[in-house]
Amino acid sequence: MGLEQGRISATQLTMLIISFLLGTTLLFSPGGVAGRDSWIALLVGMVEGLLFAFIYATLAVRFPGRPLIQVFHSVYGSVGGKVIALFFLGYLFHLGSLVLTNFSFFFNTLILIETPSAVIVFSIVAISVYAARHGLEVVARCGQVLLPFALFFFILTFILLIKDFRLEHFQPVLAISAKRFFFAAHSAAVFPFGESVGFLLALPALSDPEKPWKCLLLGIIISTGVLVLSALRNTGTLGILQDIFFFPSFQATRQINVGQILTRVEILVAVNFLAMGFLKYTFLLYGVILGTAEVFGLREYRILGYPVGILMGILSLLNFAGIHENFEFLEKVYPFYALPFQVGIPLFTLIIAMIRKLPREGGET
Amino acid sequence: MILLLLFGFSLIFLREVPRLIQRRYWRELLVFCLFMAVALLFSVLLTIGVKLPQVTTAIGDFFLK
Repeated sequence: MGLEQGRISATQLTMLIISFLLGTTLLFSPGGVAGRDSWIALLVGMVEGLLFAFIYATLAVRFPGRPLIQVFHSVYGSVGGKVIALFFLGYLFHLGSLVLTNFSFFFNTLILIETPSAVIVFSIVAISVYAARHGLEVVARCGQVLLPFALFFFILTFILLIKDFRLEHFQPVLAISAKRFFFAAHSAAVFPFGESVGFLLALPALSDPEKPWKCLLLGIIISTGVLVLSALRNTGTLGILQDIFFFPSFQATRQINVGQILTRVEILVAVNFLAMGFLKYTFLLYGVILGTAEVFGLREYRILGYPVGILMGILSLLNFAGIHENFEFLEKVYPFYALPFQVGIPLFTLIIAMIRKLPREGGET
Repeated sequence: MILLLLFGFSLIFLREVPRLIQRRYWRELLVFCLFMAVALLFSVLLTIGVKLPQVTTAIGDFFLK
């Protein structure tokens, strides 16, 4: 039995996965390396992402209801399991800090220009710690409330921009090299789809332990649909110009002008990012404190909320010197850096569990 | 600024520690204090302007080489 006593339904988990995957990507355009073909790169990336998700679901079904840290413990032994768990949690911790950095860069660049980054970051941290301390059920319910609004705002901006679409912005199709295209697709698989590896920590809390694959599959397909529409909107409106903007979604939505009355709707993109980014960060914080508490053998994980949240906030302030570095990291480093954690650890764990025929019937491991 | 920081950390301690002592959660108290000490240390260093190591830049440099 793990530390998380709460249970969430398959629908709640699916909505949380969608919110998590849309977290920062509604702003950053995954697969953006492919330029005007990013929507195709996203679809190819989804296939790779589904392969990753299949590994996570297989691992979760093999150890139903068992917390991930206990699975590592069973597969790698006491010390090895703790080391692997710390590496894995370290990645989630770093990912959480990157989400916070995205927050501070976005708000500092476009909306709250004079506000110190620390104020933005620690405001988000304070709310997220409050939510994460209340457990997975609360985080999942936040997703249930916020996701419909985010999807509504997204569809609204899409419809309002349809009249500004230029078909010629999509042409020529696939004029980039195959290497660049597949790299863009891989980038889209790693960011965001592969990041759903964090859900390995939440899958044991699923009320129906046989359904993780269905949740991951639905979550990835629906979020891909939204992201493809987002890429189509940005390319259709901005064309090749989208490459010169840091936040093309924000820029594209700025073009909305309905009879000089409905303008400046771009704030909806910021609201969406705030809501979905908050959920992504909160879930990562929840995962890190739950996992850390299990590694240290604690009886409750809530107490770690404040210190871990603060440490993530501090790391986020140290991550990059400027927004350019952030984009360089995302485009050139992240597709390689994330692989050992998103694929390496889960796949290796699954293979060893299969070889060792774990979990053994009747036995603890 | 440092005083404000110490005040914030004191509030967190006051919120968490009495409950842990009451329940005799000694291991939890130890781990909590350890994490809080690290968080406080880094917060103070950041506030007084000490240049802290940039982990992400180091990771980036490693992969870009």
